[in-house]
Amino acid sequence: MSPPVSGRGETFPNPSTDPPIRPEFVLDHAPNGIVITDAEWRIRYVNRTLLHAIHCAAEDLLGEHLLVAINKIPHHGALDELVHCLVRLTGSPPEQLASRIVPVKLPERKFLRVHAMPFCPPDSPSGYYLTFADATREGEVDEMKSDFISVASHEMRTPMTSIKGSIELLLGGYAGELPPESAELLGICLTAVDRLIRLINDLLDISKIESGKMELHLARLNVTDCVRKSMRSLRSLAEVNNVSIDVEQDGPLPEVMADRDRLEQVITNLLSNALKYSPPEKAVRIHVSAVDNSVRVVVSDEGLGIPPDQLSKVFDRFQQLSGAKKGSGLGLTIARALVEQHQGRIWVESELGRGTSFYFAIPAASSD
Amino acid sequence: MEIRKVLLAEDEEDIRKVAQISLQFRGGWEVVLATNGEECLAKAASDHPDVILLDCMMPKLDGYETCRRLKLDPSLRHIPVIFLTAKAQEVEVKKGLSLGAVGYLIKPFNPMSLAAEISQILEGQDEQTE
Repeated sequence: MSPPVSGRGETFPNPSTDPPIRPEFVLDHAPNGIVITDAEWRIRYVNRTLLHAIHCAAEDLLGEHLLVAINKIPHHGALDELVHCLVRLTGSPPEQLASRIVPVKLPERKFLRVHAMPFCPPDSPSGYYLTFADATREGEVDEMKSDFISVASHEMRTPMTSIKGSIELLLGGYAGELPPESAELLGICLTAVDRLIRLINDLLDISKIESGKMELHLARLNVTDCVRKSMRSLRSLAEVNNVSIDVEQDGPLPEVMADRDRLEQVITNLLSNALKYSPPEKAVRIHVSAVDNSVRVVVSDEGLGIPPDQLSKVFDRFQQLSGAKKGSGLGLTIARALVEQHQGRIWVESELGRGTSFYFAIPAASSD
Repeated sequence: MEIRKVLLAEDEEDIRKVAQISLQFRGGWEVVLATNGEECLAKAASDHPDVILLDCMMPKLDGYETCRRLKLDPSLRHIPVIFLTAKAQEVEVKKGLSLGAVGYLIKPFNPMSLAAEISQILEGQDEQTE
């Protein structure tokens, strides 16, 4: 494209007659909301697009911590999801900042894509650069997809139950003793149906979580109890893979407020993942400890490790690493969503050739 | 307690059939079938089952409401009720137990062990009442 020309045949802006456009003006009129914070998440800049959308004056927000600032916006619950998103964001290590789509009511229902990244301008202290973009169309399509998965999975589960039951009756001798060939083939059917049922259950869980319909039934509980229960449920998988499981608890643990079934599901998903990737005759270690007013669980294997370029994707849906053994590809996605629903944090560290450690931490219950 | 007759309320035809075969084959029990909550209430009164196996999600009258009505009826309230439920409804069922059911079993159930699990729940119940 040729440069635009003014009537006098010169390119513009003409530095002698047109004042240059100030960068602040460009930022202020960007189509997306922009916030720049310092390294402690205190706001240093908010663009006009965002101020206009939230009906706030810059002086009310500047210098405030992001989470304090958002609570100054009168929202009556309409921004709850956004607040949760920012809580998670500000608690994440800089290298694991990810973009999220969150629903808001302004008052009409919209979706925002919140993106945060480390920001290191020259001659100025480093911090974070956040953008807030309208992603309503994307959010709505995502919701439709979740609804579809939910309905389809429900409809699939019932016939699966009948297929599984019929196979089990046949294998159990209801129609008389089976020739070994028939029994072997029916055994294959049963394994496959079991896998389909697990996949359907995972799909149902993920659609429930994503549509905000997953309710937690919170109670005070001890995380190590959940670890032991998950271990028991995976003992046969560990035996088949010839991998041992070591559990270690550091000192006394505070209780947490959590949904027992869901917390066990998180641990089971991380543990079965580790068992799948662990080489035979090695150990998978589970370490439980109290750290900074929360309970932290680490599940480590001595497998191949995850290449650095895939590390940020391990919690995404249907991401299976090469060499993965049969799974739904949803286990880690579900684990992350459940941990975050408990106001906790989940992350991963890995070294190629040495192994992988999945960490999660959920806040300790208050002492009263 | 000895079981001779089971009332099974389940709206899905295939699951009803598998459960029926399973209870006859493994338990040696007579099985009376109902396809919804209303039919279940009627057959509970007419067939005098020893135990009622109740699906949660059924048309007309769901399992919870059916259980509540069974327990309100002086002539039926002594019949033990066991919920048969999908895993996803487990938590609701725990609430449902407060309606007077003695236990719940998770779908997909294993037809080879369903009868044994029912017996086990009822034996636990007998011990409590002794």
